[in-house]
Amino acid sequence: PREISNDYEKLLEVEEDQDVIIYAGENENLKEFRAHSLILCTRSQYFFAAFYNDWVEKKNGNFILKKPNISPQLFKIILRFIYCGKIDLTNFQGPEMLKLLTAVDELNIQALINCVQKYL
Amino acid sequence: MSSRKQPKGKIRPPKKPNSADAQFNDNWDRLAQAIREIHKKNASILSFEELYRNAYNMVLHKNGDKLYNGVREVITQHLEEVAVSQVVPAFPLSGASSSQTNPNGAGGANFLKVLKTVWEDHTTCMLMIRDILMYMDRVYAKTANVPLVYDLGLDLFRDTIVRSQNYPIQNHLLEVLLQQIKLERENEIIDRTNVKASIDMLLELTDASTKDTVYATDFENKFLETSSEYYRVEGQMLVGEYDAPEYMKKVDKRLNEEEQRVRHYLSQTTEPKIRNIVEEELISKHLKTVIEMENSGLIPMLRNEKMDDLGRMYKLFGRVVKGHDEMKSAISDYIRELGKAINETVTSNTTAEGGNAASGDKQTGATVAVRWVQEVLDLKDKFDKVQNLALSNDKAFQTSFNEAFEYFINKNSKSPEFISLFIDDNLKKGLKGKTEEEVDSVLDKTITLFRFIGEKDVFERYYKQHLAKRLLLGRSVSDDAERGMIGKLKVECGYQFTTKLEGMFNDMRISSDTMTDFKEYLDKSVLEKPKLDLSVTVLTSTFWPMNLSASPRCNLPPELTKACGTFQNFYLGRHSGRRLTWQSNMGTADIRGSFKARKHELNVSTYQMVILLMFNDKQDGESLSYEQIKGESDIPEADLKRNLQSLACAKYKILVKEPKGKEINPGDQFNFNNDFTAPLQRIKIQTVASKVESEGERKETREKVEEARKHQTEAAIVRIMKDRKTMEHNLLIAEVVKQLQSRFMPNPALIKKRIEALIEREYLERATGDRRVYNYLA
Repeated sequence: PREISNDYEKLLEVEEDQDVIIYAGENENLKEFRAHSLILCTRSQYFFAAFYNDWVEKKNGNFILKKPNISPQLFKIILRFIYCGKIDLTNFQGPEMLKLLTAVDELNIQALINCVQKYL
Repeated sequence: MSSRKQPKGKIRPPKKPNSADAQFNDNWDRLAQAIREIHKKNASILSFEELYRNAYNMVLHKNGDKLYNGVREVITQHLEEVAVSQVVPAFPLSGASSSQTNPNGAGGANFLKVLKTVWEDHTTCMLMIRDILMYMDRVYAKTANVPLVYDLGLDLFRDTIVRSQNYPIQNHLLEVLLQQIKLERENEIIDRTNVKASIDMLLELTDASTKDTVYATDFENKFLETSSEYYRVEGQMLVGEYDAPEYMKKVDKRLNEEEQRVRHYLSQTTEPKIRNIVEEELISKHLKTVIEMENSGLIPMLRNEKMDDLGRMYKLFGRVVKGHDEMKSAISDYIRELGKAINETVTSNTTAEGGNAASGDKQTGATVAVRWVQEVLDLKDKFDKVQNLALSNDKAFQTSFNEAFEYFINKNSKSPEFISLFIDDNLKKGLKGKTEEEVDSVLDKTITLFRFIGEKDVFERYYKQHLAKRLLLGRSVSDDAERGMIGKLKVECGYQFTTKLEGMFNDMRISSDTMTDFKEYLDKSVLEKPKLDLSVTVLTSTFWPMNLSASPRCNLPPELTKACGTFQNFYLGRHSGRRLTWQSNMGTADIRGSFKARKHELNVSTYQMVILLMFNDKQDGESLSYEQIKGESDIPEADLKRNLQSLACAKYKILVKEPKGKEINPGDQFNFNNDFTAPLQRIKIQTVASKVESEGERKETREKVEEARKHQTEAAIVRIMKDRKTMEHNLLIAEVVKQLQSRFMPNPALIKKRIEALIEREYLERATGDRRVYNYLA
């Protein structure tokens, strides 16, 4: 399992076959993330629902998703967890932790919710 | 939030607008609008993440209940509109007229089609709504303990469309479904897809109070009721119009169709129920009628060996409780009836013969026996075939058939004798025209009949008699076949049953060795050689069935008496302490007779030889009277008559009788038939060896059997009591019956008598205190 999660983490770096563009944050704090819809759908019901019906905006064959209420910093951590199930909570401050929990709750990633609650 | 006609569940407009309320209104307006767009199939203009976030925010700000109720409201409104604008206009022309104006149920089919579309649209929308409201489902629905939004959608569809209070949608739906099924039962082609869609819809909807599917609560019972009625009518119609095989084919087809129907568009849970109905209405209710159909029912099928039809009946009737029982008892009755007929031909034959020839043409007596057995075997073959080809070798049927055979076989009191005669017949001439395998298979089958005999000891007695005659008269064709048969009997009844039979074989073998030795002895000895070849068979008296303790009267010619004396000296010299008695009634002799035309070698019985030798001293044309022959030969009267008959009234007439006739009477005159001609040099005068017994002989046999039973019963009682020492009356009787039943069925009265006899002879005593208990006295 360790090996698998390492390999999946590498997928984050590989810039190939990515078909989702996610804009996290808003205004000056806006960042673009690229990901694989297959992995997102598998790991999160939220993404599954979003991509399942073809009502998500598509540009050049890419799904476009906007998450203005989640900061790019947080989204990066969440995306990493989605890909490989790893998260390092030790450097989180209280308010940040709460933001993480809220974001994860919205995105309905149950494993991470459990993980954070356990840590708290 | 336009046109709110329904008072219940309406969303109240905010009373005091504040920022939270404004936020709520804003969120909700967008969501309600989005749901309407989804219903209009405009989902592609919507943004999922935005709507999701709207719902998320509402739930997050404790407005979950308002959101939930709002959604309910919007969906209900939409469904109401659908009912009015789509479903109601598609109602088929109602009532009975619909099937007349639309003979193919086209109106109904269209209605189902519309319903199918409506249902599919609804579920598609609900899936999207569910996705947007995922957060509500997860967070609000769980804590508020309300159905998830998709299930809410199903409930709304159930109450607003399927069970609408405003429009008779449910009635139409059920009526159309049942009508479509009826049409299909009447061989119309219907569009199963539409029916299936409606059924699937009903299966997905749940009844709130029973928690069962709406299919089960609203549809299934109605379906079963109409089916019941349909097949009740059809059953009566079919039974009146078709013969049994056709009827069964129709039923088979119906069962198949209903099974297919369930598989194609109903619920699997309905399968056993509809099957039961068809089985009840088409099979159970008409079991007897079909079995008893005059020219096509069970008995005609058996008579004409309609294996396919029988097999179909077996399979079909096996589906219902009483089916096989009815078949079994009908077939068993039929076997008994056929068996009775076979038994009756036998008795009518024997009585007819009795009229023709008082002392009996014995050969036909044996023929009757052989024919009886052959007919029973044919019957057995027939039902084995039925059993094998049509009844899947069902053990229960086999048992019941066996009982039927047993019943009628034992109804014929002569069956043990007949079966033994049949075996006799096969072993005597069996190999002529039949291969050894064929004979063996016939004997195997005979053994199956033997199993049915209740009185095996009676059979044993006859078998011994017949075997004795075969051995002594050299009539057996094959020693192997004889031993094979004894082997089979041994397998059936055990060693005890066959020791005496084997002893008889042993005597034959030892006798043949003895004769070799006797010839050597004669060659070496200085004694005068006998003028004839003597062949002696020494029988151990206990093995053989005849009474060998005394010599029957008969004046033998001096040469023979002398030869016998020589043998007797030789034999007793080797085996001291034994006693020989000569059985002249069982011997044969080869003699040479000179007739006008040519010389013939005659093979005759010892008695016939004695009779014929008397004519040696007579002039041509000189006759002897019956009384003279009787006086001079001293042969017992019955034997004498039979032998004279063989010489004067049978195929080869060596003697001429005056007056002519088939019977021998006192006062008859006999002449040597000098004009006798025959194509063969060697002639065998048939002494009738095997025959059905006369009444007197039968009585004698019976008495012997009864006597033997007494001994066997006493032996069994003593054996048991010796082992148990003390035993209660009923238990003892039961044990005795158990030990003896392989040979015969002892009746309790007989056992009781034997117990009393044993008490008298002080083998047993009644226990003091309890008269029902016996003690063994050592």
